[in-house]
Amino acid sequence: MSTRRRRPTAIVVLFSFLGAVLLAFVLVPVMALILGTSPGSVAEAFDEGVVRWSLWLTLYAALIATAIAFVLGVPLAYLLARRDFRGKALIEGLIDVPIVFPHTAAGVALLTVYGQDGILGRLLAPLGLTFTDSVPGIVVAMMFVSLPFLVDTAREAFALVDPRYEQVARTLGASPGVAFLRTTLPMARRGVLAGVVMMWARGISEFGAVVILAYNPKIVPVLVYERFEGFGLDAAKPVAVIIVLVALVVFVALRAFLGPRRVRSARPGAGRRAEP
Amino acid sequence: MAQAGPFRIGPLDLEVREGEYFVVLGPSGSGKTVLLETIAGVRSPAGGRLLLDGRDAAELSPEQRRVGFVYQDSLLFPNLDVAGNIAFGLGPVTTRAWVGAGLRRRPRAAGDPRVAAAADLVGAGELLQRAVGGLSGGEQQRVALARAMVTEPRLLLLDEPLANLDQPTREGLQSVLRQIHRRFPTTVVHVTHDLPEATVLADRCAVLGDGRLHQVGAPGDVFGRPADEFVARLTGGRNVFRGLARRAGDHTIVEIDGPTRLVSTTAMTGRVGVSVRPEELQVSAAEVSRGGDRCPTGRAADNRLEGVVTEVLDLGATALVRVALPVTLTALMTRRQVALQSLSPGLTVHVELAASAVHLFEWQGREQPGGAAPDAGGIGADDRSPFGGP
Repeated sequence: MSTRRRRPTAIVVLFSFLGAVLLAFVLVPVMALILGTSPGSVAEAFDEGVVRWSLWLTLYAALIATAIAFVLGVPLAYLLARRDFRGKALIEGLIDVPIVFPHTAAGVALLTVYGQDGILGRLLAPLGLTFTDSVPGIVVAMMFVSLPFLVDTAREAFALVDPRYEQVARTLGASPGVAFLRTTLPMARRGVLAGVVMMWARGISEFGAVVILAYNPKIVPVLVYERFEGFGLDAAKPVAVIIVLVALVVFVALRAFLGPRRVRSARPGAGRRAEP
Repeated sequence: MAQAGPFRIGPLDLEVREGEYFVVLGPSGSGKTVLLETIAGVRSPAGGRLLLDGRDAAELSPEQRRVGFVYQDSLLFPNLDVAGNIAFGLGPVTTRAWVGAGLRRRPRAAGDPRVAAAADLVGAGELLQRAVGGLSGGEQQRVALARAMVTEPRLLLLDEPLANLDQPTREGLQSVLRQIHRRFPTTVVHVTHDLPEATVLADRCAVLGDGRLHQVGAPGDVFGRPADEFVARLTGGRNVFRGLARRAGDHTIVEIDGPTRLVSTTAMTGRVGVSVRPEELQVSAAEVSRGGDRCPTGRAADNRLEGVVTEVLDLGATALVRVALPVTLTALMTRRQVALQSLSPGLTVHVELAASAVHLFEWQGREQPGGAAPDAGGIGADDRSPFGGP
């Protein structure tokens, strides 16, 4: 039996057009930035020690922030996915608060606590940890604004794994911890990993909170801003291109690594289909 | 999936004997899964006690109870291959192996001879290297059974294990289940809504409905002598009525809807429920049948009634014949019998029925004018049970 594809209806044509407008809105500035900057100036900027060091600092600080959030956030994500308890909705809301905060306001809030006169700032100073104009400050700012991406994505990934897998594992002799490590975690690993990469990418691109808490040492977004303020658009463009390219590489790698399916729809627990 | 929340079952007082194959029969939503999950320990009872081998199981975690659990939907671990799934209960150390198209995790114990033995037991020996995603429903359930059996559980809990399978696959797995039960001392608790499954497999069975137990006994007793209306209807009794019974000599006469009188060997009086299994009725065209000599038992007290066929439903190998006496009785006959008698709507027939097949029970149901059961109307979709289609 052969079937012919139906002709697209008017609504499909309309929706496609609206979507194309949105795609152009995203794509045009990105392409204008990349194509409107000479490769020579980008290579020149990349040769600068300051830029290279700034890039390294950005990636590294975002990685530490993600690692800390992973240890603290993934267990919380699991609890939120599996348990019902009083105040759960409140906790879920709190996790998402950084998304609705203006990030400069987040930076001010963090400075109040981690600054030289803040509670944690004073408490941790004897340990050699200062947060103003320091790498720990950058880490704290990045972590604060980007942790919802990890916790939310991991929670969704855990929720998609049927809890009965763990029950079966328990009847097969696994303790609760072992059951989690051998069933739910490996089944949710695509989603958790997607959360990790999204948080990392979001950390790399953070500006508002970092600039308030730790203007120095300069991460790439701060560097871009500084060059724009000090020397104008043409000076800012090469550095901007570098960070945009890095972000694109990370994102493309993520898509390739997690397969052709949508990042959020990795559902190992829901189907009986083998993973590719 | 069974959900907790407002749902509650019990109190239940149920004893399963060591080594027996026990089937819990109940419609969807009657609490069967909750019952099994409580026995397995993944759900805690709100009250009461659960004894395993005479020991209070309250302080035993699921992993200490030595129970095997097989769900209706297999729940094979998708991140492991078939051997890895079966080996899961043997230990946590994993290695990687090429399976199907890619590198897949499997417990190191996958090479254990116990894994191959368990797979062979369920007829899954050929599947060990396969990924679970490519398995058919029947294969998945075989692997799930092997996975549960590899740890030699003392109690095997089966939650509608055959419900998603087609008829031939189901029969194949029924014989696997019988074989497992014959070869191992494992006690089995199997829940199902499928009647033939219960009669084929059970040593004893229990009927669960609305969160409570209605009857426990050998399948023959439950089917032939239902304790109440719920059991009578669940076990495929299409002829369930309310009646008034009185004793007459060594038998009982029960009046259904005034004019219809049936003789029963059950000793009861007053308001009763009446259940007649459709396969016990014999329908013959009036001009063909002569005298009462065709009754199965040949006893004088047996029933011989005249009526008119209102409907004949061809089920393939069998057929349902509805006869208005005026109370409507439904008979299950072979297709050949129907053809031989040329039974068709409008034909006047004799309905013959042994007194021992007229089962009486205490009526607790609602009062109904006319005495007929509420759904004694047309032949519906569920008329295909208990003997199925072709």
